[in-house]
Amino acid sequence: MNGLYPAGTAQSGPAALEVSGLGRRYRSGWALKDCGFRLPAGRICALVGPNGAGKSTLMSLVAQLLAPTEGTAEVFGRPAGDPANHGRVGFVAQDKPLYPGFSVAETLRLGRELNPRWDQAKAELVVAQGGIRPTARIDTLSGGQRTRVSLALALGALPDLLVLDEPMSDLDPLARHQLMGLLMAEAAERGITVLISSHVIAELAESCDYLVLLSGGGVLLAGDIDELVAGHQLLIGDDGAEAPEPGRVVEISRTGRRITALIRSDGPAPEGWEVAEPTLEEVLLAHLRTPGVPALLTAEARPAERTVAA
Amino acid sequence: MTTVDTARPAAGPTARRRFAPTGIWWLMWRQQRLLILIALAAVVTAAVVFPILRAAMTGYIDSHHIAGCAAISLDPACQSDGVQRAVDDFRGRYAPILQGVGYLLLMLPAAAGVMVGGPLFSREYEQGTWRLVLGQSVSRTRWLAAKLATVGAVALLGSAALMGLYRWMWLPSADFVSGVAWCSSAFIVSGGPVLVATTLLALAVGATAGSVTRRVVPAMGITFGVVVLLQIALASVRPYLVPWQTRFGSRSELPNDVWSFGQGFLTPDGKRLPYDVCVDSDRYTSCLAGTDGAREYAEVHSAADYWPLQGVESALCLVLTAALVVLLFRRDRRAD
Amino acid sequence: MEVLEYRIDRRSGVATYLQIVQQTEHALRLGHLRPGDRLPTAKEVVAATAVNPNTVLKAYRELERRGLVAPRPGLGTFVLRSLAREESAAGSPLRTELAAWAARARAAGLGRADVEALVGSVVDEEFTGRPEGAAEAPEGNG
Repeated sequence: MNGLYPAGTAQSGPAALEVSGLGRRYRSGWALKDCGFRLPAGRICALVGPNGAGKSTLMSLVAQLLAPTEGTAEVFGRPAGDPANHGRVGFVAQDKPLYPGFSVAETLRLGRELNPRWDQAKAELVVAQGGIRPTARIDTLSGGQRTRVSLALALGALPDLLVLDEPMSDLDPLARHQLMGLLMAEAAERGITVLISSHVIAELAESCDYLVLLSGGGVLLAGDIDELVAGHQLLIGDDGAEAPEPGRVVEISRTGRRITALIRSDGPAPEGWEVAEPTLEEVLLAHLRTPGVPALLTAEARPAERTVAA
Repeated sequence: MTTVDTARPAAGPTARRRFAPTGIWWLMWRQQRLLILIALAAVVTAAVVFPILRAAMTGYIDSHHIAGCAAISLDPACQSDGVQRAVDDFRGRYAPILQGVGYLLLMLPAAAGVMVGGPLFSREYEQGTWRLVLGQSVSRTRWLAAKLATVGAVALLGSAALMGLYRWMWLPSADFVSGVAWCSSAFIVSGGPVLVATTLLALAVGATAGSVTRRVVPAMGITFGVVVLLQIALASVRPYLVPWQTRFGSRSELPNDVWSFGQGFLTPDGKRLPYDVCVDSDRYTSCLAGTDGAREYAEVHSAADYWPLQGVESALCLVLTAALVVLLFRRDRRAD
Repeated sequence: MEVLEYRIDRRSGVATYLQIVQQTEHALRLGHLRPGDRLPTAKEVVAATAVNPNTVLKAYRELERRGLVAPRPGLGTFVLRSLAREESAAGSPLRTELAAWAARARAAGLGRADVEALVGSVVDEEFTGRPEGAAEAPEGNG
């Protein structure tokens, strides 16, 4: 991860995001509880999990649209609201809110007037690539076009951390590909960190190199995708095979005489099994299907130890 | 390398030849420009029309020599022949205008509260655009303050201008000639600072309702109800805000510029009897005699009480406004 | 210089960075890329393929390791040597023969899939399990 990014961008320095003991309660209950992970700078991170897992809440907390009930979320090593982070975090909410009566040009103007940094040329380019006329009114645009304008607004502010809540959800595959390409180009050029959520993992697998799996308000997996996959093994065998240590097992399933087990690869594989490398999807699903499995965070995904003030 | 233009140069802006707000004020202008233009149009219309009407009124007064004369006046200057007729004629022509404008202005607080205050925050919540603005590195406090300051300034300046122009138009014929007294319902709110204070209060009510309900239509509905109730409540406590006097004698003998708001009969031993105590009896005078020499009284405010009354009621409204604004900012800090 | 476009097949089971390496080598072999040509920047590649920039980096590093390309700081990544073989260049006898054969196969009613299957099977027969001493030229890796 060197030589490709211009010097002095978000590549060096503290982690882009460090979440520790984060929790948020609503009247209906805890949307997020004791959530902790670390996202190093310059990574493209997929935030995945079923609906209701707390992804939107987590993103709103990171973007400071909400205040946490407990715990902390630090961006670039500074606590929330720190003036040093002013203008460094960009956010696009799930519904891509825009002012319906504004024209596209006025929407970009909003970005220019409100943000400390602004690249008008870049924002205009993003809009133009989608064939959107600057004079068009927002309420005449399609869902994909609105997403593009929202992204133009977010990217034009030259953020160092971009938080996107299910940006692709209402887009056709071509639009998804184009917008993902846009984000990747920005990552290649400026080394920004991206946190992008989805409840469909497949569309993110190519672009993301980091992952956080959220379920029921807590973190199940976090870390570099290659490391997470390498940290698991898929065992295929039958009744005669040696039972793996219970502490390493994520999920065991059986169809007839065949047993499939997903285990952690911290140690030699037990006797009598065929060993295969699982796909990312298999790892995620196994963790989601099996409650009570201890969370797995790779070394760089573990938040720093901190003493909790009484 | 991409070129980055910073939003504003570090030095202060040079003199602008055009109206060109920057930063969050651009957004405020862009969102409220219709309101600003409407307010401007209303004030300009009044500034053009009222002087014309006032000139007509003063012209009539001067040419008919009815200055300071009421319909029934004890002033010797007003006893000459055509005066009564002229006053009646004047009232026939201009009283409807003065009253009409007064009642129209009375609706200003409700209009401001419902149409401007109610949607101010509720529309942003309903459309989700609050997340758009706050996602552009604008703090909630700054956003709240800018929105309130913008509509507050428009409401303050607009209502003050309209009130001022109305009052100025009313002055030549004042309490007597026009028949529209300072204490009449058409004027008592619309012709003084109470109009401005009530408008600001209604705005604050609307903004608070919108912030709580987070939906436009309920906010507007609730604001309308609350503002109407507030105006009724203020009207009912209005006479008692400043110490009043009790005058004896027939109510109809009071001059136009005295506000009587309570009346009845007072017996020698201090018992108060209602005004209509003898209304039903066949013989009014013997009934009165039967009340042991009770005298008719009225609770009044003289014209000198006008500014104190305006002052206290305005202060009351402004205190309530301030309380609501504080409430709005404190809700914001919980950042839900 | 022809613009080199990468096409990533997500379900091929081959790692993305390897697909980029292979497609680059393919272009080198066919002479679409010549020594001195600049590879597309990572930004250009990811904008078109929506692939993670690190993956492109990894691919370019692998090509560099194989001695095929070299980065020049501030300028880009440039091709060092070609894998093109005159035998397979346009206009060569081998290629002309193959083109003629393909036309005949098509005229005979074979579809694309049939032709690819036939070619694949013949290639397998010809290139696997060749006993030692076979004068097979190496694949061009150093």
